Amino acid sequence: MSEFQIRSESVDVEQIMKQIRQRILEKRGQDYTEDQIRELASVRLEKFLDPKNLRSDLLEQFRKSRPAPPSVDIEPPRIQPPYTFDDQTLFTSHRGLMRLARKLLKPLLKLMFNPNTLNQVLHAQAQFNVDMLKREARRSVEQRELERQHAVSRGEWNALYYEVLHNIVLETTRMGIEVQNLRMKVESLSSRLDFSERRVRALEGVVQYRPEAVRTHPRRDRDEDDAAVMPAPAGAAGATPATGSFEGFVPGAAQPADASSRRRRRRRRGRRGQGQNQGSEGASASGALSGFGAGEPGGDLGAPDSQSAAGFDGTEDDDGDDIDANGFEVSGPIESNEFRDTPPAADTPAAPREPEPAHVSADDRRDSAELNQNFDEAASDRAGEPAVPQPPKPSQDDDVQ
Amino acid sequence: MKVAIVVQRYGADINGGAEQHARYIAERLAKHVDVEVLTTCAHRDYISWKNELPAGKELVNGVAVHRFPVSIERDPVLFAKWSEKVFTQTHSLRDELAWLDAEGPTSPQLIDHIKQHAADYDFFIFFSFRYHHSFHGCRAVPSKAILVPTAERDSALGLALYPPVFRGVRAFMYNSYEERALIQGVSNNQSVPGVVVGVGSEIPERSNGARFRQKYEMRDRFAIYVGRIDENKGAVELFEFFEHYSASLADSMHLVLIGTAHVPIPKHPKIHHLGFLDDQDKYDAMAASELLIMPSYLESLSMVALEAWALGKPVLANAKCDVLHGQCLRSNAGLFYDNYREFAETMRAIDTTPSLQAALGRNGRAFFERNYAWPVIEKKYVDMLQELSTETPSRRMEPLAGWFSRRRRSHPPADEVVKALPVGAYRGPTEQKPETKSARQEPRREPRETRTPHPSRAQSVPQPTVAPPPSRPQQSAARPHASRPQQQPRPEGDRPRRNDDRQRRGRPQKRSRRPGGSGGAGR
Repeated sequence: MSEFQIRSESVDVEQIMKQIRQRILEKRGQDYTEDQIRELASVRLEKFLDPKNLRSDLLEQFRKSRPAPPSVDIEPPRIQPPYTFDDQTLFTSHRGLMRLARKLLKPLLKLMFNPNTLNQVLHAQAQFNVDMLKREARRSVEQRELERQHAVSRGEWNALYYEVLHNIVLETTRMGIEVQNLRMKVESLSSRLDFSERRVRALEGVVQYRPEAVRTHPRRDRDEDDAAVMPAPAGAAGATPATGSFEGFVPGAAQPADASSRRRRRRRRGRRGQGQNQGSEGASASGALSGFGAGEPGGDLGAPDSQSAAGFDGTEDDDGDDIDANGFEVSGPIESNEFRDTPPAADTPAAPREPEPAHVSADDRRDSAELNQNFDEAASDRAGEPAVPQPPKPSQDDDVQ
Repeated sequence: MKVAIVVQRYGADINGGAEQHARYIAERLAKHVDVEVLTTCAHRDYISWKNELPAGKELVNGVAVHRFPVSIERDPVLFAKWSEKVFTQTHSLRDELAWLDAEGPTSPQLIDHIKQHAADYDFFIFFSFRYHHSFHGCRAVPSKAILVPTAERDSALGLALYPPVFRGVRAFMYNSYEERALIQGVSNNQSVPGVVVGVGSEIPERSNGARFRQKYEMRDRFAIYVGRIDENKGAVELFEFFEHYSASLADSMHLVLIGTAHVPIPKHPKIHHLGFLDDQDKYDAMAASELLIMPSYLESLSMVALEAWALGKPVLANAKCDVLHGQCLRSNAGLFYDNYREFAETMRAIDTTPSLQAALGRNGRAFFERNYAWPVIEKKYVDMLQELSTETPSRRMEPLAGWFSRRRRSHPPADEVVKALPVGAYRGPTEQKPETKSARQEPRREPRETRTPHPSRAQSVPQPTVAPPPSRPQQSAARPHASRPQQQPRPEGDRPRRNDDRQRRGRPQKRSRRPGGSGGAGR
């Protein structure tokens, strides 16, 4: 798509470059630098596109990172006792003479009072002091260890919280994108549905039922009705019901319908399916119907009808979707051609596909193509417009009859 | 008149660069004056300058060539060591001289020949300022030295060796306005006469794109790159940009690479490397291409771009290269990019707008014919030689620093000097647009004299005060006369008249001197 309009032979490169840079700025939206954009894009995309970074053992990590009780075998530092006291403490001296004198006079001193009690008490006090200091030291060590473990676990928890939050943000973003995608998909489907509905309405408006044409062959319809009750032999049905199935229905004809014609149509469709299962009749019928959008002879159309080949039960047409207000069904073949997922019945062993008869294939395919073209043109013209009755087209439609 | 062309290598089979430039000029000038080429015995190996050709005289395409042996081959390790020292550290002049000796091609016999036979030649045209032969040759015969600097924004330009040479030679033959701004910025040699010439190209009369497509089975539209496939030439960036671009546009054009690859080429269905092709295939390929991409960061003059313009092909150039940027602006024949977004948009504009592509191609062809056709080039050279021959040289080459001064570590790193040089494309005098019906009726615009700094660098790099490039004289066609046919536009870089030189140098305009007079004092 060219966006530069060169109206004359002369160009101004400077002006073109200005336009290009202006367009780049407009596209960018915000005035990020090139590096910023690259950084943002690369970081987010890397994290987003690599789901392996998401950890699935977060709960385990949480459990592990609980602060454990401090261990009991923590060795406190060595305690230096403030003083020691034993039975010689009272009589020691750094002077030898004094020490000797006290030793000599010790029995005399014991006569006056009992120093052993004093020694025991003071020794117990010294031991008590050491024990208390040890307990205090152990308690402080335990406290420090507890605080350290708390700090460590707090860091781990913070990391885990961060990771959880990050994963939540990541998943939320991914979900948002997924929701956006689904929303777009829903919009797409709804638009396709709208289009299909418009197409159905357009085709309904185009394909009308003309009762005069039907009345010209009442006998044949009646015969067909009678034949539908009886199980017809494979070769006896022939091409007559098939060709008669289109009589009276002219694209572009604006004629009102009635309930009797709708019933006849149902019966005729039931017979068509029967005929397809039984041989050339079905093939020719489908060849004629392919003009309404079923391009595969004997395949797409034959599948649903073949299910009701043993006898028409009305389940297919009773839903009313395939029959327009004029009693003519057109959406059935089109929908089956576009949306049906089930394989054609011709592929199944119960309904083997028969070769298309030579006398039907050439002319009918040409006519079907013409009809197809008419329908497509009319559908494209009428898309979104209410169905307006059209006067019948005399030339080609008469040929079809 | 006898002219010596002094170049580091010379041969008919040496492609690209200053050597081919020198050969073209020698062969073309030989039609007007007596030309002898003075060169070394180096041939293929431009790294070590190994003596591969015999010394002595021979004829190459009718031009007399005198070869002199290289005395010392280049030692790459030593050269890298000196380069590191003078480019990135404060150094002395002695270091720079040692760097020059390490670079080569050192041929004392060539310099001696120039000194001893200076009287035999009227002028010496030295190619490539940075090499040994140019520095010592210009210093040997400054009054007869015409320098074709082929300078680009590389670190060698920041060495203190060269400004005295730039101020001392007789004249300059520049390749581009940007090159002239660099030389003037580094040496302040506005008083030295100079003209922006460039070089023509040997475009074959017929180039057949269909033949190339048939031979190489190229059915798709493609852009082309011709040249050495090297990181310094921007090839790696080009690959990256092109891969992104081709991914963003489903039916984008292909990329054809012609040249020797020095970097791995990515395996991409739209990138085709054809290797080195002969001239006929190369021109056929260019004729078959939609545009030429020139991703090079540094160019003194891109001959490939000129060839593309001669063939009517637009050019997409790297805006980081001031020369290409300026040529695209002046010619109105090419777009340029500074980052991927601009690359993608400009590629898309050319890719999807045939009218733009055709208009750029037309402008390119006109630009080439106006400025780089051989008659224009030859005329500029001959005019310069004739003008110089009528004048008496007045300047003297500044003597080399003394023993102590050479050893004084006072010179800043060359990289810093180059960083301070002016950047950006030179918008230049307005090129006359291709004539259209409406353009013929309107008077031409006044010539503009503005340097257009690149937007990405205009704010970050301080602009040193550089004397403005010479203004283009106002031509009489600016006042169209009804009875007089419109004057042909003056080619790019055409030398102004002497009065314009005086105005350019800021001197008062005196009475006009007669040609051949002894008015050399003005020089």
